[in-house]
Amino acid sequence: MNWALAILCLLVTWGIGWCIVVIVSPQLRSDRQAAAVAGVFSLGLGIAATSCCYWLWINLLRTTGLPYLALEAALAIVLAGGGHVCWHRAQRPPLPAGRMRAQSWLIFLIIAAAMVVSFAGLLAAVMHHPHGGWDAWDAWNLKAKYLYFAGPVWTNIFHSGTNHDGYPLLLPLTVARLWCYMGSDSVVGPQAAVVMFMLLLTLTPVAAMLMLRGATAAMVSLLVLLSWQFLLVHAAMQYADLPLAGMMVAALLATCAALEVREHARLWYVVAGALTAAAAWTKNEGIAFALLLAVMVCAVMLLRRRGGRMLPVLLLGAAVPLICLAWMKLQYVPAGVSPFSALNPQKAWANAFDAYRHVHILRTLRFLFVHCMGGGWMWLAIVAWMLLRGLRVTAGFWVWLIALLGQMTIYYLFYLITSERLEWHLHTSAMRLFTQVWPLLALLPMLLVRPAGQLDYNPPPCPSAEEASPAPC
Amino acid sequence: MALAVILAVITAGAMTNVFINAANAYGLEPTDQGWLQQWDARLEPVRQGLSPDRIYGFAIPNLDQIGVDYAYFRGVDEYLLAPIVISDRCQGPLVLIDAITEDNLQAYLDANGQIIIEQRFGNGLALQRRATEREP
Repeated sequence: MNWALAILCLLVTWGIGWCIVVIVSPQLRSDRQAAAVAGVFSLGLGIAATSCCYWLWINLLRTTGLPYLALEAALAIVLAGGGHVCWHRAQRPPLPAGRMRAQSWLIFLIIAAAMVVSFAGLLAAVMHHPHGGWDAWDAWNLKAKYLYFAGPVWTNIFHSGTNHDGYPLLLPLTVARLWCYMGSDSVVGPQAAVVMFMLLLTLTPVAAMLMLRGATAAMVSLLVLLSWQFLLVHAAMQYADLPLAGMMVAALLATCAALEVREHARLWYVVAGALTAAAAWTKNEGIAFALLLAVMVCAVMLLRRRGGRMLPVLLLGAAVPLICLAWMKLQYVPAGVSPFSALNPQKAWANAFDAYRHVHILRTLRFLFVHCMGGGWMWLAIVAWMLLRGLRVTAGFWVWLIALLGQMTIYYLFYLITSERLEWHLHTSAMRLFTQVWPLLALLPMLLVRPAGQLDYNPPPCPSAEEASPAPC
Repeated sequence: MALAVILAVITAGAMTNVFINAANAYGLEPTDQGWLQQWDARLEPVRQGLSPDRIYGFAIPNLDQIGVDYAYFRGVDEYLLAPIVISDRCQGPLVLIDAITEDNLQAYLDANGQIIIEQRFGNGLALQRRATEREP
């Protein structure tokens, strides 16, 4: 029963995201492929929107459970009504379906098989660890319990009794929402959240790469992610690192779409803004990522003629999660709680020039990299495939690369100057931080692949383009 | 043709990894986290509408049977990690942890082998001292 209610919650979340997408860009009605891609991105949007909704509700009314569900139902109905009206006001009729080629069917089957096998393994893993790992029960799910039970002391999550006092709350809010649907704090709540974020992490690259680089690139992207040997184990731990990785991957893919795809540009900017802010709303590391990505996107906009037009659209998408984040940080988190509060400036300065620390951190990173790579020969085959297919460097690639390098540099510097004992710090957190960036690292080469010369289904004749410039028919 | 062959190699290799990962996930040793059923004792104030200050500590019944000495706990009690330490190190039986309040304190002190672990909510230290004094 709890799993059925979790699936209902997933569908409502996804539906809310889809309604937002349709309201922003009703022209999707005439573009099946873009609509399908946006439909997948809707999951991330829905997770961000509903977690913000729960946050605003618990702050204003300090109650949860059925009253909150009534609000969410009302929100879903209003958005569905708005989406319905927008969808049917779009003048262009839906295009006839294209006929898929045999090759595309084969790719679809491989993707489906990989997803089924992986998610079966994921379910087994979460069942074997019903409460997840250490931080799951000691921090994330404990916070979720406070948020679910509400009451006068729910703000204790910011002062005492829980680990990660000042961290953003997207994951605990999502778990608390699931518990509202179930009516109890069942272990199924965090398990279902894991499934939700794994769907985000795996489906978004497939959909986005299908649009940006073609079907085979989409398939290879998914296979690269799912063949990562630590994926299921990390997912079963119920930590916030994989949700953050999912949000960062989705944000970067939406940014690539915004920078490279001219159709529905407004939609991709809104989605990019929202998912980037959602990454910041997931963990403190996500805040660094969001700042980096914002700087990169603004730089590209400034370099492009008329690119600045989309800046307000980007900010509009990011507004709600950023307001929630600022609200939490400014109102609730005590002044002394920050990632830098334990830093000793003199010691940090001395540490920065300690050669042993540099060597030790680099060794750890190399160890993690080699272990995450798995079979090197598969990567050799991927490089050969990329070279045969042809390479093309795009703005999206540069943004992705610099955001990734920036994020890894921040982690490196943090380890370098930390006042904690370095070995202990690396031992307890390096793997988790690497988990956040590995999907970004693994998907980066796929962005170098030259886009497919044609769509992977036989496209129908193109109608006249309404939005932006010439469609790639 | 070359592209197709390479893609087949990538697919075969990756799918093998996918199957291995899933098989490993099936083969994971299920962890007995039954003791965690009460890990949320810290939520007692929330559940009962109590002030957090009324929760003084946590009891770990039958500690002596688990074979971990109290001194060990003193080293980690800052984070209240005692339960997971037991689980990790002793592959545990596991322990139930109960929140201690004024109402049930005396009962815990009167029972044998009860230890109260200091924790962050309030008067843990004083009560811990009292509990230790009562031990045989």
